[in-house]
Amino acid sequence: MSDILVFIETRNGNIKKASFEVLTKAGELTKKIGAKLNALLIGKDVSPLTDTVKKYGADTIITAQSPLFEKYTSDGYRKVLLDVIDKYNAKYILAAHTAMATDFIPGAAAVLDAGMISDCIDISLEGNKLIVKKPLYASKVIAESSLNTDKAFVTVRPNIFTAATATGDAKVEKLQLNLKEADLKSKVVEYVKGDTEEIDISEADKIVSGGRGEKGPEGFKTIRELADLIGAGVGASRSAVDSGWIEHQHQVGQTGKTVSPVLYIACGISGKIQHLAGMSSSKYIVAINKDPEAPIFKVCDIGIVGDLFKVVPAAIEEINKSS
Amino acid sequence: MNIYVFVKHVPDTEARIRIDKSGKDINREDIIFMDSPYDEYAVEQALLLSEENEDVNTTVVTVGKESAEALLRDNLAKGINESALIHTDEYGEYDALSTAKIIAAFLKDKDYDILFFGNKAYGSDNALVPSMVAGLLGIAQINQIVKMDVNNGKIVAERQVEGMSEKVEATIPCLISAQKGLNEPRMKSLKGIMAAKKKEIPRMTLDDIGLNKNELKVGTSIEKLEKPPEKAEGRIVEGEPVDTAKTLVEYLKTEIKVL
Repeated sequence: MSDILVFIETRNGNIKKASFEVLTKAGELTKKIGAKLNALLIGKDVSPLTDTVKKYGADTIITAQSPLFEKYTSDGYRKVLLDVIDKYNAKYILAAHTAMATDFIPGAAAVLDAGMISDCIDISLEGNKLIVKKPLYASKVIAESSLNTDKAFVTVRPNIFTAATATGDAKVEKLQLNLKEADLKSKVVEYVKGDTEEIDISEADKIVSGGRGEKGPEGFKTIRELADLIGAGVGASRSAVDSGWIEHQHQVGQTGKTVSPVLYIACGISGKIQHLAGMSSSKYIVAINKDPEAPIFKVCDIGIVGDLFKVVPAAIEEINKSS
Repeated sequence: MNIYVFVKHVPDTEARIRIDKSGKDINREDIIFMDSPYDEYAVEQALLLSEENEDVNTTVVTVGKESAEALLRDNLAKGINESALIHTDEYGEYDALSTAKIIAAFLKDKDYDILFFGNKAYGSDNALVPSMVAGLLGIAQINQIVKMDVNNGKIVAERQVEGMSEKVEATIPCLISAQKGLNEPRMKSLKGIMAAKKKEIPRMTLDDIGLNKNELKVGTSIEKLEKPPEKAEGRIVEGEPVDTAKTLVEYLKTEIKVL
């Protein structure tokens, strides 16, 4: 048996979109090898979510529910994952590449002496071997790697695969939990929200990003205005973050987040390799910069040479006019 | 309190990356190596804790080639007390799983309270080793932290997740991985550099930490490296802002269809 297990991530009772992307891709792989597709939901009360997961075509949905999962717990989730892998004999374990997955899944892989590769942009099977692709060294090269252990773990970059509904009537099975409060060595005591309810850029399908050319925190007001107008997240280059114009959670690039939206609009960003590392897998890249020699113009699909303080407001006006 | 910080020597960000003859690795000649950026936040946090508390001993450790000695000396110059170099013969030989096992084996007979890591290493960008080590040792972990306090044998830290932070409480011993924003890493001082020159750096082989090289399982291997596909040259638009903005909006609407 070489069944696949997909961890379905939930936050505040909602399933992450990226988890459906992984489930869809995993469905393709299981069909190819005639295996079973299992989905794992962990939380305080995840039963109401099973109907949504069913739409994406799993064979079995395993629910692990406990009051101990009121908030996320690294030790608890890892224990559940290990129990499920054992009980369902999962061979390949897949999840979306997120802060949560990176926190608890590698520990489970290590305990099982299994290989793991994270943030992959492609995944396939050659015989019984998982083969993945992943950018390395600020996306200067792409590595094709094989996972050689009996069990194999992979996290997949959000926004790379498209989630698609599938037919199927998954059966739901409740996991008998074998967990006490004392097993949890670390505990989330509080969720601390940011200042505003913003779209998180790691999963956003559109991002408007500002750089040194914004000249100060005021510059980001126009960036936010454009972002709000088109329903995009707000990104930033390292120099904008280091200058204190915007918080680090907006930073795209080598010491920030890696994103792959459908649309990435870079305003006043020169396009240093450290920045490109974080956004070059975007589907469409728009650059607005007054320097025609800026490296960002080498990677963009459309580049506007001009003063962003004039072009961005003009674009906002144009969108408002035409909608 | 015993603190260990694990650091990695990685190719300089600006380095030109070329694929070597095997097609499976990069050409490492002529490349300058540097401390992985996130490791600097880990080192700084260890130094801050040693300044704020009494009886703290700090040790910086790397798994690498002899040339990684420079990395250890840099961190000794910043004020870390001790160091250790776990020798490997080749670069690229060990993946996350085997590196985590090497680190866990090194720590087996050690007395530790806090283990610091950068949240990921530049280059491989896997962010796997810290959580793997915590799993192997069976200790508490808090990853990607931007804030931390140690109080009465407990650690309270804030870790960055998508769209918010999680405030996490953990028991000691605990593994911590550092995210940008945690602190402002210091520069090494001239006095520190002089003092670090005199320090002995203990070296050890896998045998020394009780691992058999031939039995150490490597979970993943690179089969092929490729240059990313060249992107077709984009369309460059110049002119009056009103006109270029119009072209842009038209493009977003008709070609990408996002509006």
